[in-house]
Amino acid sequence: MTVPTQTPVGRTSPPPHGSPAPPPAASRRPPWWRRLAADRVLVLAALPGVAALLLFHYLPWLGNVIAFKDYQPYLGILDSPWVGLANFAVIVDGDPQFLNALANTLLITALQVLIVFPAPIALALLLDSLISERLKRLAQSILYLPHFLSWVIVVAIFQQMFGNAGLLNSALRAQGLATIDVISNPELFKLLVTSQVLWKDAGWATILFLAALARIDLELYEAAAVDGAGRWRQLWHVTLPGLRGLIVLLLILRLGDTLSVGFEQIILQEPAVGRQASEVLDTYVFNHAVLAADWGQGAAVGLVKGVLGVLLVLGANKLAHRFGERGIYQR
Amino acid sequence: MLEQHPVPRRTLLSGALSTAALAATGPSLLAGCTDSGGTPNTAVNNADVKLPTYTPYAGAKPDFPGNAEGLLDAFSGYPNPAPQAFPAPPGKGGQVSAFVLTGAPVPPSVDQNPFWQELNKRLNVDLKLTITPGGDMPVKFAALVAGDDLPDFIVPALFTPSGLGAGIANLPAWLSAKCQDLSPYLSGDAVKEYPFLANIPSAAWKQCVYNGGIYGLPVPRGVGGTLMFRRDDLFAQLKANPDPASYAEFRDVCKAVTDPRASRWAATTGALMYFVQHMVGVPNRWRLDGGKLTHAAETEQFRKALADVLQLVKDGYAHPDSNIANAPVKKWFNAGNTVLNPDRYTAWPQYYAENVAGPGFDIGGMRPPRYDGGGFAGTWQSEPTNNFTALKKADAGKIKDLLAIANWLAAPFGTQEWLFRRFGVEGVHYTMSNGGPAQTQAGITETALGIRYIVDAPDAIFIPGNAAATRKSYEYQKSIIPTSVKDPTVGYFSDAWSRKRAALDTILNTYQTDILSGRKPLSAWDDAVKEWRQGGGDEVRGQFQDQLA
Repeated sequence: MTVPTQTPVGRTSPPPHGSPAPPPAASRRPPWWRRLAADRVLVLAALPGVAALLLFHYLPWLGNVIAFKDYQPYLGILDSPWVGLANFAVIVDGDPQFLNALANTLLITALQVLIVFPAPIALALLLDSLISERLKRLAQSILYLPHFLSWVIVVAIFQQMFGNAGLLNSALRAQGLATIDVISNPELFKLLVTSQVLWKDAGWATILFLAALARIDLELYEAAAVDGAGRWRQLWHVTLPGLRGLIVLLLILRLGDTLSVGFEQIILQEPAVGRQASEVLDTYVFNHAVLAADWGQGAAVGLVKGVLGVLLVLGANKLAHRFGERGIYQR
Repeated sequence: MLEQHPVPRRTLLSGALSTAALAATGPSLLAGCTDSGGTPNTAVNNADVKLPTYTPYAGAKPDFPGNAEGLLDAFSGYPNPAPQAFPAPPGKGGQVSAFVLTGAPVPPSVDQNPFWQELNKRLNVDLKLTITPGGDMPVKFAALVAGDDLPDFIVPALFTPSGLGAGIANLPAWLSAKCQDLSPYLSGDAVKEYPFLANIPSAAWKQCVYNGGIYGLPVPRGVGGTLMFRRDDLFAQLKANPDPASYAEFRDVCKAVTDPRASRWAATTGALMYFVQHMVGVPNRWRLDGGKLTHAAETEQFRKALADVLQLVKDGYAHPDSNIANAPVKKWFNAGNTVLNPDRYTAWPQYYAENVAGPGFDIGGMRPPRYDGGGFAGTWQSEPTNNFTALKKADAGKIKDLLAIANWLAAPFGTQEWLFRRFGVEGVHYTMSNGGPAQTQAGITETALGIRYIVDAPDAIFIPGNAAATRKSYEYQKSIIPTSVKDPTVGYFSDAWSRKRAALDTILNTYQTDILSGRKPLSAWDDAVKEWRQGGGDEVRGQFQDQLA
């Protein structure tokens, strides 16, 4: 453990004890074990959490070693033979199905960042502008509800409503009108999954933004109004700047798992539209590695995905710092 | 593609595993286990195995008798009072553990499950069950094997979450290393010590033979297999021909029953594909001709079926939501959204139990006609077992105790034990009506312990409380069994097949769905076959051919 050269401010610095210590002694920090002993209660309190984190989040990382092995469950991780980088061949050689999955993933990610991410902000602003508390509560409850449904249910509801034998098309048929193919139309698939995410989670995601909105000082609005700012100028110059820190933080976190675009949701709808339109990295791993019991290859693709996710988070964070935002951690 | 160097790996693996086997069994010299476990899993070794002597148990007399060809006994009602087969519980106390699957929702745990408590009492053991939903089996099984903390009874994985068969890589090597060779206890006349295990037909036992020994207990099933269920009440109402005599007539039937404005279609795309394949004569998975195997997907007949079904889909006879995942096909059939639905014969009672059409509900089986007419086409036989169960290696005393329990679990139809195993306690889990047990809600939730997948008595045709349907089911089986077609590879083991089965089936399924939904042209089937062959199909063929030669 290395001791940082800068003296951090805040809790970690030892209490002054009120003794008139000479200035040189104060600038020299006590050794780490002394500081640890001083904070022993806090350290002890943190231990179980740290242990759980190490045991269940960091230790399993070692299992990633099977990305370089021909892993066989009967042999276990240690005894499975090493195969070097063979498991990464699909990525390096550009297996067409892998590239297709990658393209689908990126497209769905782009749609989600462009459409799904801003939606709760707009929704929160709308909710915030409601004056009647009762109406607001009611609207919030209705919007939160879909978040608690599992994907199986959400997909089933969409199929019941928009399926070719579903409510909408049955009604159209009864009227003698042409039917609309929504759920088994490969061209519409990416928009379909995006709208499902929107329906399920946009309401739930407003919670954070509503909290941030409540925190904005009302005097700022009053001052803006006095200066002659209308609703739009207030939104632009007061509300959005007040939300900016949170928006940047959430966007960075979102980028971290940007390549995970919903395994369950997509595998459930794969048969309806085919792999060409629907396969993403997660389902690619399932279809080509898990089904084929080729665990090593699955781990390899997963590992690459994880590394890309970390790079995206770090990159986005750096960018946030450039723009003077705090990001997810401070420099 | 996915497999870089299959042959060296396999050699390496089996080598490593048999060393482990020798290390495990060598020094301790298990009683009753004279074999070191090093016998390779070859057709020659397996052919030498003396199967348990089949000794039918003279129990309840069937109303409609079965036969040796695989026709099952049928019973109009359950014997009342049912005779008790065991005077005393088979167990000697202590704990018995099992890893089993269930197709029903996982039942309550033992402390909240009166059925389980009663089962423990009647067995006189503390039954520790790890009950796994069918879809989670492959993952849980892999974890179980990797963890190496094996229970006494182990049901190997069966299905992937997508419903396709799950292979188990290196199964024979694992069986040899970790599981008990039961031959000394069951081979030949030795099985007579367990009369209800002796009551299981030889075809089922053959499925448990690996490494030149008997490595498991079978859960036997009738070879009658899957049939095309038909809504007879709707056919009568729509005045449709229930027994088309050719493909052309079948098309007319599809046309007659389809009415999208009433949300009614002939069947799902998959169901049509299943049925038309029979008409054109696609083999049951493989065709064996002069020592050469041809897979169903490679035949001209399959392409013809594909082209015909594509036309049926285009004509609008298939349910338009056929391709959605987890399509509720049984519900559609029961609700009359489809009038034909292929399912296993064992589903017959379930359709009546879940009937929503009222007392007029009536179902039957439609036999596939030959494509150009002139009689019926042969149907595909299913495998004579549902699954088998391996026993963890143990000393002779323990194995004998476990087999005594298995013997109880295999008590045949007609006994009190069978009735209890399936339906629970009268008055609590079921009530008798029309000569058959009708389950209560407690019965439905508590009895699905999955013990029927440890070992089972030979199956019987019995639709509780519905003698007419029982009769119909029996007559259908009787009509199809003489001409039914066997999969020539049943009873043989291919390591590549066991490992790649799910992946190979997925390739074909994906292409089939893509073509039938118009996303890919018919000609794409060439790619499917190519991908299938390169993905392991040729390897599987070779391994089976070597054994069949």
